[in-house]
Amino acid sequence: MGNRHFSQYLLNKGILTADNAGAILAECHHTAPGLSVLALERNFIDAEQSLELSGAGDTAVAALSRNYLTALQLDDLKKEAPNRRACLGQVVLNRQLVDFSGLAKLFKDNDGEYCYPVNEVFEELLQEQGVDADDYEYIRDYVELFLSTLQKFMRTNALIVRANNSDVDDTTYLTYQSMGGALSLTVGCRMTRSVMLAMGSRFGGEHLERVDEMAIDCIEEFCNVLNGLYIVNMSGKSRDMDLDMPRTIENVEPVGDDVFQLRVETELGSFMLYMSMNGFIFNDGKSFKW
Amino acid sequence: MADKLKILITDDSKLLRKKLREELESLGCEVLEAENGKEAIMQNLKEQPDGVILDIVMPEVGGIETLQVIKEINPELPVIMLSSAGTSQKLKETLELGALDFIQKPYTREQINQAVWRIRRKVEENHGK
Repeated sequence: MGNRHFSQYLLNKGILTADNAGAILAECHHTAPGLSVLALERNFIDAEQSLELSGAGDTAVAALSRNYLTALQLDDLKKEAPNRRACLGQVVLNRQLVDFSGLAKLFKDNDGEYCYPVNEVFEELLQEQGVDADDYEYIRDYVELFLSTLQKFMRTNALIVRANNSDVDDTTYLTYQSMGGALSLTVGCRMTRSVMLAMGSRFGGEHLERVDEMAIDCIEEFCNVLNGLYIVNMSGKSRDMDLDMPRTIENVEPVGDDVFQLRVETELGSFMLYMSMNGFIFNDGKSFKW
Repeated sequence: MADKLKILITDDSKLLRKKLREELESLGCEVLEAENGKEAIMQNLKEQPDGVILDIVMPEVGGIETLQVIKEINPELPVIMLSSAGTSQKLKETLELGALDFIQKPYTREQINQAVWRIRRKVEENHGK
């Protein structure tokens, strides 16, 4: 089984791009992988068998009768929690961005190669936005943890792409938290109402229909858990830090010379991630571009 | 002591309190809630819970100060810290102040089972004294 950064792997291979990543990841949210792709992802069958099964009326019956899968393997696949890698595989297959043999190779290569969640775009953005070289390591560590935690707790593929400066005409919410001590870091996520509700529902296991105390709490608690993991990691490097309370503000944008920003694409929608070593100053952010 | 453990959850997160309440009630506990340290101290005096599950980062009165006050009032009361701020420094500080255990968020069901078991054992020890 490969690591959880299959979306990043597909971006590195040019199958996902800054232009199509948002739509493809959003499609994953509504797509269940077929048995033929699930079995291929687990390396139970090869590309030819997967292609053959995808055309069968009842895939499970066909897989058993042709001895492609054992009853035990079939049971294993049925019990499996939603598999994000297979899901993404199914979407790129549906969009004919790859064929079965291409997908089989991608799964296999991704298994054998650790894919770093922080990519070239991230490195370019760090330089373009003039981030102090001394801060690179902390920001990179934070963003890696951020993406991994997002993928784990929100059960979504996630990656960083270059912001395309498109206008957003919706209320936005910035949830941010500061960490202080041996190192100061303030981080915030700015989301539209719909993305906030989707992410809050996923993290909290609650059906959220409006941005109320519970919706805000779900996102704040996610940030709190994530930042807690970060300060625990830093504590392991003998850099003790403390957490402030997370806060949420409507329609503001963090600004300042050292505010580093990234656009994050997930299956639940896009949002902006902001980081600063000196804290945030806020602008009225009604005209929002990302 | 009644058969049913009375446990006070202290956390400013409404989500956390709701999820943890469900977890504790499924284990047969009676649950009280406080959303900050000040409320937790008041609840301790008024309701006399068998055990407390306590967050650290909270508005008004934080978890460390709350732990100190609770322990001054009732040194034998079992308190389990449940926080995202689980650094080695915080772990050491809270255990020295008399916390029974420290759980890093996000918690697992097994950790909560274990916490309830430890509170029950501590309560039984206190009654046996």
